[in-house]
Amino acid sequence: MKIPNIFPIKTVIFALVTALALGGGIWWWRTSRSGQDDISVRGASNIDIRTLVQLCTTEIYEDVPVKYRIGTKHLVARQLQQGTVSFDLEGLDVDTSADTLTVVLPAEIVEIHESTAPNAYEVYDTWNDELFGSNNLTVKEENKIKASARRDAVRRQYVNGTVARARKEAAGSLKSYMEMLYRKPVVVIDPTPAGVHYKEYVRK
Amino acid sequence: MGSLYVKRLDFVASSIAMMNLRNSFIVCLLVGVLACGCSRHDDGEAMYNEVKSVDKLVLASMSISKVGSLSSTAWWKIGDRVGVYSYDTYLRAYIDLSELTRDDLKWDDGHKRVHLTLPPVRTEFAGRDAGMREEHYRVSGFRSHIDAKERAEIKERMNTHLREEVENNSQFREMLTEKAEKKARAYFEMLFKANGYDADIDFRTL
Repeated sequence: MKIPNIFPIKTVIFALVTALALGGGIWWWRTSRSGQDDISVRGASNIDIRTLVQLCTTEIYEDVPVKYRIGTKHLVARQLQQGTVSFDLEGLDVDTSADTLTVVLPAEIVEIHESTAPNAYEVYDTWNDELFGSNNLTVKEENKIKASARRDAVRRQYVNGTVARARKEAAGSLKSYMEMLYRKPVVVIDPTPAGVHYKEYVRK
Repeated sequence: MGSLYVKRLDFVASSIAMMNLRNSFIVCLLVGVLACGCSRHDDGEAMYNEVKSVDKLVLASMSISKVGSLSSTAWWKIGDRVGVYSYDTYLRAYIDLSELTRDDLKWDDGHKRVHLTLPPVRTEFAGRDAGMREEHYRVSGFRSHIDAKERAEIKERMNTHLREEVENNSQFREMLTEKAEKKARAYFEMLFKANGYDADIDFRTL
């Protein structure tokens, strides 16, 4: 029986040329997507300074995964968060006429920002549940996701007791430095040891 | 006739088998070329978490705006690709209250005066806005949209540029320190005044 010629030379050459052309096109498209755009940065502007008197008792540094969905679009990223728990002392009401000073610990101010350390925000993946939907997240969508991540970070500080610890330490610190300044015994009252905004962030 | 029919069937069957084999080979070749374009990058990183107790009296905060842009230089591509973004970074000035001792307070009860030496004012970065403002965006022709990874890269460049700017130009920290010292003086003078004392406030140097 004659062995069939399953690979005619013309077909093989055609397949090779097509594959090379396709592969080359894909390689050019992939390499031309990156490194061909100019990124330019302007000097610092709109500098604004505000004065305040805040007692900061806790600093928070957390490297967290950011995995959220907005509509049918998903984002997976990593973010290094930097935050503080502070207390505004300017509004403190102190009656200096009494022999013992009584002070009420003010509401906590929990601030969470993105860190300025290198590579503080890295995007790993974005995708769309819809088959032909765009994977691209707009700036507005991404900002909404980041706002959710920030809110979850603040909530985490209430749940894990960071805010409660910060309030306890603030009461001790305030007592110590006010006794030094006023030369009188000081009592610091904390009406909300878990945090003034605890119920707002932690719902059972 | 029967043998001719069988021979024809045989020929058709072998032709179909040949075509399938040939097509399979072509598909495998194409898949192999495409697969060469894929790459795997696995760079495991440790995640860092820390909650630190501090005793800082923050007296001033500075916000600095940074603007960065991405524009296309690929002349052979059809269409333009321009994005301009901005966000704010924060610096703060504080004194470390754990460095304040009773020896830093000198009372003159006769003249109702007190001399207070405060710890030096220090400055540090307090973080940046997580979100960005899109100041301008224009993508036309066959150009792809600016995606989240590219925006993260723009932000990283802006961040590096700003850190270098602040390190190389002492004016930022000096402005902030001056405001913080002024605030500290006003605050402590008010505290002592409420107690009937005039205060002299100065600062230790770094």
